[in-house]
Formats: sequence, C-alpha cells, structure tokens
Amino acid sequence: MRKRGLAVLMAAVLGTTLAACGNTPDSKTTKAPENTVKTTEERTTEDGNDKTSEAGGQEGELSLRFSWWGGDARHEATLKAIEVYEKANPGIKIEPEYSSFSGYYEKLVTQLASGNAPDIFQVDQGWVAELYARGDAFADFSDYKDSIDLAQIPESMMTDYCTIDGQVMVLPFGYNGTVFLYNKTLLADWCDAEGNLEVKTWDDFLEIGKALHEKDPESYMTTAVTDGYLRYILKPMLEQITGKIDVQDDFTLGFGPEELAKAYDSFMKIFTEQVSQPYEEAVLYDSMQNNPLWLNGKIGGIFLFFSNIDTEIAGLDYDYGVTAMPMFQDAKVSGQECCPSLMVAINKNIDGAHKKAAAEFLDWFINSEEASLILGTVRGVPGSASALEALEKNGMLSDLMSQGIKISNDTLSLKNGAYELNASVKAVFVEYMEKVIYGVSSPEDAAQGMTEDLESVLAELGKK
Amino acid sequence: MYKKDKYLGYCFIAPWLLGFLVLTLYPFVVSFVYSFTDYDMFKMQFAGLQNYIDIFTKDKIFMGSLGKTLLYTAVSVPLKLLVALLVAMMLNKLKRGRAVYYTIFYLPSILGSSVALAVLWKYVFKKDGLLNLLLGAVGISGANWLGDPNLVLYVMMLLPLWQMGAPMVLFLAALKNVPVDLTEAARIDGARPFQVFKSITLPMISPIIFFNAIMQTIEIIQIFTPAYLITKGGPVKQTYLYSLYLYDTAFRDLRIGYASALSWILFAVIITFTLVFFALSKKWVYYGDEK
Repeated sequence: MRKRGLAVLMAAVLGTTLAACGNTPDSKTTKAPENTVKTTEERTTEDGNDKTSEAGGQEGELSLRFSWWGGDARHEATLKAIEVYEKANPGIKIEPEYSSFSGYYEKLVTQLASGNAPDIFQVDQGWVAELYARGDAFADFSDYKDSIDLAQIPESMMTDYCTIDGQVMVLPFGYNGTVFLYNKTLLADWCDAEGNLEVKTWDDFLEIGKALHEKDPESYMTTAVTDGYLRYILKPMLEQITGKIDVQDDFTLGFGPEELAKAYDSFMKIFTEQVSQPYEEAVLYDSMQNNPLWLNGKIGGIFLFFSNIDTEIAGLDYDYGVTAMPMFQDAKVSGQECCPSLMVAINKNIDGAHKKAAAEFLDWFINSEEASLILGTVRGVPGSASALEALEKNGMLSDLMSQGIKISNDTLSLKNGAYELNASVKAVFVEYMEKVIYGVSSPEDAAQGMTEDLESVLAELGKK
Repeated sequence: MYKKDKYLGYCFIAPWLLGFLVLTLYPFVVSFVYSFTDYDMFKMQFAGLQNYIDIFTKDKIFMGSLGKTLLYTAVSVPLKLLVALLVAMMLNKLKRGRAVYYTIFYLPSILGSSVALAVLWKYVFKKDGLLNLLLGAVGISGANWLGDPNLVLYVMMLLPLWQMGAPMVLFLAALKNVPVDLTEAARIDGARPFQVFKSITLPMISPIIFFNAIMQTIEIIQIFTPAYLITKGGPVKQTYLYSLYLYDTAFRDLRIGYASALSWILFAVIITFTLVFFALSKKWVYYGDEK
C-alpha cells in the first residue's frame, strides 16, 4: 500500500517535471491550447472515418496543424488569414506552427520520421524529391479535386514541380524568377534617358562594374549572400555554358570538370576585377537589409527573385529598375531559376477527414481573392492564376515586381532539377565555390574535386 | 525508517533518473547500434563496420574537422583555465564586494547554451562590428576577423573564455583551502610571491586544475553553438568543428548511421584524452597523501 502511494507520488513528480519542460505559450513555435491538440499519431489510429468531434477540443471542432517558416511579415499575414478562415468555418481550428527557416528542415524530417508531422506543411522545392523518395510523406492532391481547384496552377508548373509518378504531391504557394534589380541613381552614367540599363552580356556587366569601382572605390556593381553568389551567379553561368540543368533528375551531372572550370574563371572575374563587394565582407551579412553598402546606395544592383524586390528596397530612397540576367554571347539559356518559390503539402499519414479539411483550407488559402488580399506577396508572387489576378486587380503588385515577372517570363530558362537544391548537393557547391574564391583551390582542381564529390553525393541519393 | 528514506530518495532523483534514462542512456545505446547501420530516419539497413571503414578511408572532411576541433580544444582549454585561475586569484584577494564581482564573472556561464554570447560575438567581430569601430576610433584599421580564413578559428577560440564561471568557482574554493600556515612560513623564509605561487599554491590546487582540465576538455571538444551560429563552419571550412560536421551529416544529409559512427569516434577520442590525463596526473597532481 505504501509502495503504491510512493509510486503515485513519483508519477506526480515526473508529470510535473515533464510538464515544466514543455513548450510555453510564449515560445517561438506556437502551439494551440492543450485541450485542442491531438497528435497525428493519435489520429492515424482512428479508423479513417470522420470522427471530427474527437479531434478538437470543442464538440464538432476539427483541428489542423499547419507549419511554415518565414519572417514577421509572413507570420503576421498568415495568422490573420487563419483567423479569417476560422471565423468563416467555425468547425475548423488551424493550429499554426511557425518558425524561421533555420532548423525548419531538420525539424520537419524528424517529425515525418516519427509520425508526428503537421497536417499541412510548407516545403522548399529542393526538398520535395528527397522527402518523397525517403519518407513517402505527401498526400495526393488529385484525390481531393472536389475540395481544391487544381486548375488554377499553370500546367507547366504542375508537371515540372508538383507531380511525381502521376500524383500531385505538392502545390506552389508562389513562383519566382531571377532578375537584376539595379540602382538607377548610382548607375545613372550607364543608363539611357529613360533610366534603362543595358547589361545584355557578362562582359557588359564587368565593364560597367569596373568603371563604377574606378569612379567611386567604395562602390561595387553587385553583392550577394553565399546562397546568392551560388544560385544567382555561378550556377546560371554554368548553365549558360552547358545549356543543361546542373544536376539532372537521373542523378547525373549536366556538366564536366572543363565546363565547370570555365564557369569558375568567369565567376572569379567579378571578384578579381572588383565588380563585386569582396566575398569575405559580403557574406557576413545575412541579408541585403543588413549590408551597409546596399543600404547606403553603394551597390549597383543585386540578383534576386522578383518576389523579393519590394522587401529589398523597403525604406530606401533611391530610384530602382529591373533587367534580365546577363548572358554569355553564345548562351542559349539564361540559367535563371524560374520555379515555385515555396510549396505546400498535406501529410499522407492522417485520416481522410483531416486531408479533406486540409485541402479545403488550402483551396481558400491559395486560390481565393479574400486570402490573396490578406497574404499579398508574403509567399512570393502567387502561383495560382486566380490569386495573381486578384492582386493585379487590386494594384497589390508594385511596378517593379510586375516588370520583374514579365522579364523573367520572357527569358528562356530550364526547369530546376529535382535534386539541384538538395541540401547535401548545395553544400558541395558552396564548399568548392568558397575554395576557389579564397584561393585554396585553383578553378581546375576545384572543378575536378567538386565533380567527384557531387557524383558521390548523387550516388548516395540515388540509392534511396 | 531506513526503507522509507530510501524510497523517498528514489522519489527525489526520479525526474533526473527518467531524464538520464530517456535522454542520455537510451540515445547512447541506440546510437551505438545505429553506427552499424545505414539509416536515414525512414529506412534502416545493417551495414556492419562500413561506416567506420568509410570514415577512415574515404571521408574527405573527417580528418580536417577533427584536426580543427583538437586545435580549438588545445588552445581554448588552457586559455580558459588560465583566465579562470587569474580571476579567482583576484577575487580571492578582494576584501570587499566579492559577491558582486563573483556574480558578474559567473553571469555569462548561465546564459542559455551560449547562444546569446555567440550572437553577441558576431556583432563584436564583424567587419563593421564593435571591435573595429573601437579600433577605428584610435586610428587602427581592424581586420575582417570572421571573414578571414586565417583568423576566424582563433577569434572563435576566445569565445569560451566568457564562460569561465564554473572553473573559476572551483578555483576560488581551492584557493581558499590553501593552508595559510604554509604560505606564511614560506614568506618568512624569504620566498617571493611567484615562488609561493609556484611551489605552494599550484601543487595545493592541482587536483582542481586536473578536474577542471578534464571537464573543460570534454565540454569544449564537443562545442557546437559558435560554429553553427557565427560562421556555419566557414569560411572554407576553417571553423567546421566536429560537432557541426556530425550535425550536418545527421540532419542535413540524413545519414544517421554514419553520424552515429562519427559520434562514437568522438567518444573514443574523449575517453582516450581522459585516460591520458589520468595517467599523466600521477606526475603532477598532489593529493596530500603522497609519500
């Protein structure tokens, strides 16, 4: 009897301790009140019938966990949209789980592996193929055609990025393309009377950059963060040389060491000829908004996704223009990334009622005018035709962004390979790019080493 | 009565015990099993010793990362102990306000997981950070501390110094226990302060130096936060410390089996260092019971 009493006491102590370790309501990743939370695991044990009353805290309430990453603007807009949806659909409770990008992928993979992933989750285009191959994580949207209008997504985007093995695994929140956003005030000497900048080739780009730096040694033609140097300059140069996707979907490379060495030679000119801010200085800033040269109007322009134009020039008092990516004289394709910016999936391992409710919510979230007007471009320029139309009709796309969309759409580009932005693949690209920039490796040695390492990473990925 | 106390004891340690079993012992055992598998969080396949063989024969990053980590540890640990000892000696001399200084020096050690310190470090050592601003004010053009591959690791080595609270407290306790009669007798015999320190203080506190050296080596060899938060291992992998490599292998590349093998190799390295420390300790640690 005494033992039992102690056991009860111990259990109480443990319960209290563990509860104390749990998330506080103030923690960054918000969770709904405990009485409304039911884990995915618990739901999957149900028989798949609509037992919605059990899933929510209140009678008849169905709750859906929705996770995404982003900055404050995206969080605020999404929370507001959720509030509006919940008001219009009293039986549905959306539990937001949001954070910054850092650590999101690691957390999502762990959740998927442990069967505790959210019902709806935002994913990056570069993760889709791997998560599909490894985890079989995505529900097929085409099973919920009655709940969500898939026709609003352009067909090419559906085929290239959303469909795997005939199943619609993900949908795009937004789409993006690379453009060059330039500071007309700083580059006035090189712009025509209308303020248009003529940079058709990389030679034009280098020439203007050199002249600019000579005129004002504090100024540079461009700058970027590590990811930007890779995705907006080095990789496009490589694709312009080969005319192929760098990392093909059959786990082979679209380039050889000679072509890569050639790309490195051209890429390095932006540093050796002082066209770019020195790499070791530029990459210490997490974003353009922290880079004093950009803020002080000392940077000619930056390569970026057109969706980010308004964010990057927010609060700056200069005159800006947009133009297409420079290309090599004989290049056939631009190498710009023209792809969905952020994607969304429904967890495969939840019951039918939750999947259907998730599809209905996403239909409203992605396609409706009401949601589009709340969300604006916080997830990029909408991938859905109806949402894009709503933004255009209400004048919610800036002139620069509209120009960016047009320029990007008019530029010939290849689709992003399924594994091109895979985290392990990207890590190899970054490692060797830095070796060349810092002079640790010659372009030729780096090209050889990188090709070998990429082949070994791709072989590993291909095994799955 | 004794029995009752025993159960009550278990009751008190129950939260810790559960935490130890679930969060330490279980991962410890399981990671050993995983290290012999090819496991990506979704599928698992037995791989025998392949992970270990690959680490020593094919892995291009392993040796560099381990080397950087050992260098980091070899410089940071003595430096941290030296600063902790100096601060403890100063505090020991204080007649008034000891508690205030004690708190001030200990404070950085309780800032959670050193995340705040790492972020602060970044803002101090950036090209346009606080340090270069101060240097600029006196006409010195500061280096690019975090962007220069030749400097960055050394800058990061200074970070653990902020968190010398724990060894400092132990040193302070040890210094208080140095018998005053010995030091006074030495002084009367004409010993200079440095001689007193070298021949009396140091031997008397040597068990604590030994303990601190082992604990700090174990802690610093596993250091993760500064490399992850300040430099992400760059530039050119100069700060790609072992724990960060292990983390990337597990959670970015999803090679849990391989990462587990890496973690067991680190464990073996730590055990080896500890055994070597113990073996060497016989030569310089004074416990007072030597003949």
